[in-house]
Amino acid sequence: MSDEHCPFTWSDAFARGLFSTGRISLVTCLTCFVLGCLLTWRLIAPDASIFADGTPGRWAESPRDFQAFATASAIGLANRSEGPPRIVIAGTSLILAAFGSPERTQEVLQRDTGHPVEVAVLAAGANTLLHSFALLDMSFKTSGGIAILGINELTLGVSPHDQDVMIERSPLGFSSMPARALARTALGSRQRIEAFGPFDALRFYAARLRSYARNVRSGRQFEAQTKFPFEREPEGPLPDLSAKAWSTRTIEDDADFMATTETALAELDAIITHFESRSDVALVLMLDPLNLATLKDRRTLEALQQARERLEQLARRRGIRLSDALRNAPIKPAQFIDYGHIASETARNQLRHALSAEIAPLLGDQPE
Amino acid sequence: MKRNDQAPRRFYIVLQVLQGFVLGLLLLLAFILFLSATSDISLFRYQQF
Repeated sequence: MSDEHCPFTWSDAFARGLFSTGRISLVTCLTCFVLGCLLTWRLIAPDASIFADGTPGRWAESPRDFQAFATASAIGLANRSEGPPRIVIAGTSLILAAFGSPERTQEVLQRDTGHPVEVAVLAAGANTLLHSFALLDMSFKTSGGIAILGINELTLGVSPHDQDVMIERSPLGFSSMPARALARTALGSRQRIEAFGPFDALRFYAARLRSYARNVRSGRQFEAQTKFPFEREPEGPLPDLSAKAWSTRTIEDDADFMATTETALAELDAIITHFESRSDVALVLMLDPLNLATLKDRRTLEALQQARERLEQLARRRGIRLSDALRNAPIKPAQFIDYGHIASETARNQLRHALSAEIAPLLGDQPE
Repeated sequence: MKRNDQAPRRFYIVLQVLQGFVLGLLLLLAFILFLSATSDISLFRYQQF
């Protein structure tokens, strides 16, 4: 077709421009396709990922964008098979608040156990069990170690619908075949982009495009800030905790709570099965610290006790270690800001030492 | 007069670029769906535990 020499009228231009395919259109089409393939591959393939160095670069929206820091850290670990034994701690914001800085946790663990270890804390506020599973699986892609999964009876009772919402709001930046399969089995068929699939991973980047552009313009690159903002400003006013709606949790419907707990236990069962096939990965279930002083409601305490018993049964049946080292650490109620988030570096150090004592046997007796 | 002759042509080029862009995206989407249906990065198949 000759594009160049025929005289155009407006209607010609419109009809041929839209409904015939010339060289310009073909070249644009191929360029878009090739660039699109390269970009997609670079974003969602862990081996070619922009996060291979373990940091989110300019993709983190803020110093507390823990989904981005966890994603980058997991992909970084997946891209490195060398190094000391790795200890990867996954969980919710309770775990994040409990351990704070991974560097500081690593220091304490190395000193206490006498072993060189690499510690990563892959936790974020909206993490479900499935997020934690995807992050742990990615971290141990090329090398083994100790996988610590932080859980608690309250979040075991998060309903499938609420889990769906959390997955919808907080996609991870990579696709995960095992997490996708488990999400499909546990949460059922979904009428939207499949959780933990390649398109779901693209949502992570799409949601951060504006902040990425802002960061590029301003040359800004965030470091993870694991302490709460008011901890960093000793002069600043302490938050009024009594006003916080989330300062405690109550369970309204016991039957519903136990039904969703059973769903979560089935997910846990599948996660244990997955890691059983990895002889180089030791999975430890770790109960998150809880501030029992805020959980005074009798029905809530009974429901939690029931959930705890079911969890212990599962651990016994599957021969998996269920650690209560963090739960039993002598943390004062004043060191929590609510039902379970710790806001005290002294308390964090206690928990780091408790973790060291728990995992020391798994690292062997002889210091390297 | 000459400038008026060029205007429809420029409009044609813009439409062709747009058409190429849309076709490229559709081709990319089809390619990803094809890969996901046939390979390890499946969107629709899944393993049961």
